[in-house]
Amino acid sequence: MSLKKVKQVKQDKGFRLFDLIIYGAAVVLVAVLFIVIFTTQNKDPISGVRIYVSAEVVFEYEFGGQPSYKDGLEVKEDAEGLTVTVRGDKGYNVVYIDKQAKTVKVTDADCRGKQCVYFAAIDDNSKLIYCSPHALRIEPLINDFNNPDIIM
Amino acid sequence: MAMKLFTKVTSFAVAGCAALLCAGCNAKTYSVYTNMPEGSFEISDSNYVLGGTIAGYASDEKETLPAAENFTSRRRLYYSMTTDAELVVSADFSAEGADENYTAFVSAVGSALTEIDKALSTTVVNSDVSKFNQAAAGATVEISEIGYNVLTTAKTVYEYTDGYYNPALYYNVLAYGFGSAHDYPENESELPDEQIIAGYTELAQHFGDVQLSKGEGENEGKYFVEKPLYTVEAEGETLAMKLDLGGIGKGYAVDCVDRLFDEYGYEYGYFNFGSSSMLVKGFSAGGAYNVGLAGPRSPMREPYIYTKIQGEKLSTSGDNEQFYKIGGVRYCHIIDPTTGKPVQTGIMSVTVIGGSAAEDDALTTAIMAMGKERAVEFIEKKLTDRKAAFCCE
Repeated sequence: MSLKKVKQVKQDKGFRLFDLIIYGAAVVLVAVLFIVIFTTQNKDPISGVRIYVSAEVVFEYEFGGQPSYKDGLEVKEDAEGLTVTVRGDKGYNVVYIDKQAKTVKVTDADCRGKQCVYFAAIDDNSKLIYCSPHALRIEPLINDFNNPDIIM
Repeated sequence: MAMKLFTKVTSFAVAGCAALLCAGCNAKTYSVYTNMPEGSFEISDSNYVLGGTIAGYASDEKETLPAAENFTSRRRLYYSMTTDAELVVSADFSAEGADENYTAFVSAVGSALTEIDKALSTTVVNSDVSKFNQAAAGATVEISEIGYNVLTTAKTVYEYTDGYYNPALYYNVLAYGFGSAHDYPENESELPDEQIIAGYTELAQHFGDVQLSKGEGENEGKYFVEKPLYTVEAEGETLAMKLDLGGIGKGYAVDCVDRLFDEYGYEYGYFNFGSSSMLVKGFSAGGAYNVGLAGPRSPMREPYIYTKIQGEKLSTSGDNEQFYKIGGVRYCHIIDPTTGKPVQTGIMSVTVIGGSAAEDDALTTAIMAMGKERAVEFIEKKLTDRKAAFCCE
């Protein structure tokens, strides 16, 4: 760096007005996003669960009802809960649905890293579990049956 | 300093305006044509404009079901014919025996879907369609009542649309990569040879020769289909006719579910089969359902048009369901029976409302292939008992 450039840098202010405006806008944006995300989350208890593989619904269960699922899935049900084994070309995931606690968790999988097994259990409508290697997604079942709009 | 700030702000503003202007220039406008009465529909996407209204629809006003008190809704998902189906039933589930009736109903719907899939699938080994496809030219094959009913409807619509609905374009569908494997060509050199396609198309044009019959005497209660004798030579092979009833099967299933709704005493709810065919009963809070037809160029399936529907069935076909692009040209899974190639008529999506869903399913496929002018004429003259809407580029 030339001596002239060093002098110029030393003379420059730490922040110019325009920099401050940008930084200020960024802080406000982060704060707004934080407030929006944390105040609009649906923390209601879940009414059921839906499992997708590659965007296709393969299993659906509403607490108190009967599970519906695609052929090939292994579903074991007892008084406490349901154990769903989803097997695909890429591997398997075992999902446990606790009927009493109304929670859903992946208890076993053969994916690399087993990230899905370490996901927190779904116990409210804001949570979901995702297994990227197996393209499996578990979401709370949110039904809005009183909506008069149907999209075809 | 002030000058610098002004320059930067101005340059941001100019860049922003330019970006907005470019986005505006790229936003395409699509035209909507419909025979629905004025005021009974609403175009909800600003990229769509009413291109024209079609005369001829003889409106029949229906009495709106009243709001149902104490009704709650239950929903059940199914998976059939390689797609999802959604069933919503609204009833007073606190009434005695309501749970048992619902359980029997959802089970009956599931069984019906399984039976229809088994009869019409091209991949299930002993389905009616597989048996027909594997049989030699001129052979007679025994089929189920489902297969007989669906083929009867297919032949009726084939004749009614002058061949624009043709389920015998099986080889063409496969040649363009739309079989169950979805083996899409990646460039022009991988597209099928035109001469071979012409042969496949010629074979399909003999769909009218398919003969259906009911058994008599010791064959009473049995159903038969006779395969046409006509064959073509392609790539050193002699090919007999093959069928794909996918373009009518979901509609037929919706008609069956409609009968089950009546049989089990349900008046409120709906059944949506893969967003291809739908049964819409009454809305339990009163009035009709507000049905939005998804825009064929909207990645988020934003509806381009809304209409109120109650106690009717409808079907939709579009070039956005399965497609690929080569050199900017869109190749979709619906084949034009006049060219044997994927439809490129400019029509993006067609919906027909009213009548049987199986017929609607086939009619929408036919209209996709007709092109705008012929489609308008067909709707005006031959669909006077149904509502229809289509959008085109």
